[in-house]
Amino acid sequence: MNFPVILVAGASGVGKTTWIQQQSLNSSIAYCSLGSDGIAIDATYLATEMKSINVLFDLMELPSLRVPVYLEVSAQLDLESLTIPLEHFQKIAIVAPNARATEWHRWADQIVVGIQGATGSQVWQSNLSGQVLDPASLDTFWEELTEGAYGAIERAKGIFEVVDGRAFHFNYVQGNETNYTELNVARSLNGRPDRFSGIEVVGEAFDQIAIKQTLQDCCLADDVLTYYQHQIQQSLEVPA
Amino acid sequence: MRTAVLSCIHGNFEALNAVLSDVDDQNVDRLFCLGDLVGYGPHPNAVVEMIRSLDIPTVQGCWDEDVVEGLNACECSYPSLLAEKRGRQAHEWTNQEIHPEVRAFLAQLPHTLRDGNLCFVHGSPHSNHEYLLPEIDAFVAMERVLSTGADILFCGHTHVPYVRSLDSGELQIKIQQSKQDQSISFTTPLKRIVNAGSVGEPRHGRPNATYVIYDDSTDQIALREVEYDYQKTCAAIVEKGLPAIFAWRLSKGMEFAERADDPTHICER
Repeated sequence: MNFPVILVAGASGVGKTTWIQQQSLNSSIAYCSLGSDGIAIDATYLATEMKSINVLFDLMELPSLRVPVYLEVSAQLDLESLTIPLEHFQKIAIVAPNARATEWHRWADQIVVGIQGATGSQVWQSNLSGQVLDPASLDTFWEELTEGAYGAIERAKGIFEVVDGRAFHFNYVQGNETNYTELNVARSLNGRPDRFSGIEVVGEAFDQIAIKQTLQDCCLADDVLTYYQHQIQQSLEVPA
Repeated sequence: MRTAVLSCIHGNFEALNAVLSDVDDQNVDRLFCLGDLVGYGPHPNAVVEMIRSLDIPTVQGCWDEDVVEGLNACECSYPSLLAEKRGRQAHEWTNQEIHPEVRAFLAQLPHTLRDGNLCFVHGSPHSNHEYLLPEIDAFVAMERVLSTGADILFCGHTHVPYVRSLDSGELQIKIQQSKQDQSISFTTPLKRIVNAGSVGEPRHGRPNATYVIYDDSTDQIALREVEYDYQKTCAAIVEKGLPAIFAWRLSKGMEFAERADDPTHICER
């Protein structure tokens, strides 16, 4: 490979994906997430929103690439045991403004200052693919989640399918407002969507059982989904 | 005469006690209650017993009605799937918890009380379940007051207190008879809608209880906000096996599950 490979690591919510996104503004790049365990929230978001980013879901595609490659290292991966089957690559750590002498500093070739990320050790992820949520319920759930109803949440992100067929990316870091983005995807109005959706929550001593139960209570049953999709399809039909 | 009006206690005994203490300090001559004595909160029996023992004139609220007649809500009761699941949980818990004599007391409560130029309802004169939101269409608001024949309509149900003056009270009716149009118009004196807020389940962003006092000698209406030990109620919610999220929402001054957000909706129950 003649093009650089850059590993990007840092705490959850510190701004890794945002920084990589900024690198794509002037030139095409490729992106792959390492250690996301099938909860491909960032990869799915970039694949739909950033046309200048070639999102890879398999590292086997690396040798064929002719653009710089950014590999985002999940905060949950152990940096010491991380092995990359390449001879040359650069290591960049995104760190919080006041961070000093962290594991990220010891590991990286270059340090970039991001925002204050999460420091909690509890991580909960759930694959929601196929689930469709009631938007008003989702609003209530997200407000409760980020306001601390289920415990101390420092970071939360997700991709959610809602009943009118649209998909949304939610992105929250403690101390900031949630960013909501409607994804640039076709409306899913024929049964359950077959694309990825999911959630990741990072914090300390939070009640993940209550979070899981509340999310389930926001999801539509088959008969309700069929009913609403039929109504929405009719309302979207263009008169002849 | 000073009249205190309280509403939407929702089984919150701590809040009710605090409000009654505050009423004692305000030189109030009489009390009215606009219902929703039960539902969501951990002490439905104690609240009803208190209201009954003090012989406070009370109208039936939508929760009181649901406990007596069963759930049969219009969509306005539950603005989301999550709200509906939580509302049903609260209903089932309350339904099992209340004593037979409490249910019997709730069953005999009237829908409307009238005293001179004052009328007392839970939601609206038409339905216990209808929300008279502060931004509701002026014509609808005026119609609701006129239908009672009163000058001041006291209501609850929205859990957010407000006073709305309807001072442009002119109605015009146009009747077409054969070739001639006949217009009839009339004006009405100042009408008001007064929402008493909620004693036990506030939705104004703080956990404090709210109620109102009307002084007919000055024609003034005072909104009262009363602090109380809401943490006791929160602890009781969890201890009694109600969803813990109710305690969190109470501590934030947020509604437990129901929320009215569409001022154009007309309840179909």
